[in-house]
Amino acid sequence: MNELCQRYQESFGDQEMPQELALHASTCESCKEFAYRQEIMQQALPSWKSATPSPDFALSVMARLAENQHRRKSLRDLLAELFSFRVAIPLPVGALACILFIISLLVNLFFWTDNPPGGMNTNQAGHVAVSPDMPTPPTLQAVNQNTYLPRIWNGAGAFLLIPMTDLHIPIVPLENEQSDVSNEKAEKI
Amino acid sequence: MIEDWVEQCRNGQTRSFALIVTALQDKIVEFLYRMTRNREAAEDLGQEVFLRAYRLLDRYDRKKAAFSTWLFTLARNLCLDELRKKRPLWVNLEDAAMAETSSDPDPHLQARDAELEQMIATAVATLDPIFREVFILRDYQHLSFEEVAEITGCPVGTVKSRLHRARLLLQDKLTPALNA
Repeated sequence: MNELCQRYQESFGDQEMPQELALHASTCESCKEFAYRQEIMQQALPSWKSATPSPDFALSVMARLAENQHRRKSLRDLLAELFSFRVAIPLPVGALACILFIISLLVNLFFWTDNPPGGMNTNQAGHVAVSPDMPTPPTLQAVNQNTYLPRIWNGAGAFLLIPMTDLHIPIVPLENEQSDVSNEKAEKI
Repeated sequence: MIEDWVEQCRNGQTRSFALIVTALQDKIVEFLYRMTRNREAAEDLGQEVFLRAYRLLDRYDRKKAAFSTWLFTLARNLCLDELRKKRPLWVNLEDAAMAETSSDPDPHLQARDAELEQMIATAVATLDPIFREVFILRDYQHLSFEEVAEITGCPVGTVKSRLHRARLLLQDKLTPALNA
């Protein structure tokens, strides 16, 4: 089968078949055979009768459509009901929480000095220097795991963590290993 | 006219959608029936197609294709998804139903018609869905190559070669029996 045969057979039944293909088909035995077999098949195809939709097809569609819309509306009502607790939260409580949060951020922003090059006040082993004589508590070891965030986020994190734990994460960093603050912390722990 | 109804639907007139369903239900259900060979499945899928069409009506762009072409695309995608799930029930049910469809009064002719119908339906069903859809859209729905290409998302050349392949396969299966 050459290229013309291929093109003719692929375009068989097309109203806009090029004339060269029609001319080719009149002389090509392979294409004549294809056309003959195709004609027989085309005559037989209508024997496979179609299925017509049931008389109430459109009604069923519209009923399901209405049901879906009703369900969607119900869902919307339910969601509105679920989120109606918003109005139950007293405005002053929300406002106070926002103010406290902003204050904590500002306090940290202006009073938290930059971290020393080695990170938090650390000894040679890389641990937080609570006291040279005491082992580093597990909680502060966790702070050592490269979790040093920008100070603004430290402030936010501290604000969120303080109510959750008895251990007060130092808001004022240790200046050096012998500082009073670190000694006080060591005594507390 | 259908395009006007679509616009009316978009403007919130749900009743216009009933007109669209009535106008296009025959074509869609026929296509789905020939793809699945099961009347119940075709009707269920047809309803799903129209519901989906209503839901996605905002996505329809009349500049790209006719609404019926867009609807055929939805039907085709939905049908292929279902066919991938391979439900053997579809074919069995239809085989039983097909014998009841012949209306010829002569029992001998009735039996011959039923046999021919069964033969064609079975031959078409053996085609791979990508060949079957092209064959049905072109030779049963009489859509243009361009429309079939739009529905299947293939270039016109691919549609032509798939159709050719489908026809050759069907010829091989049907011609000996038809000649006899």
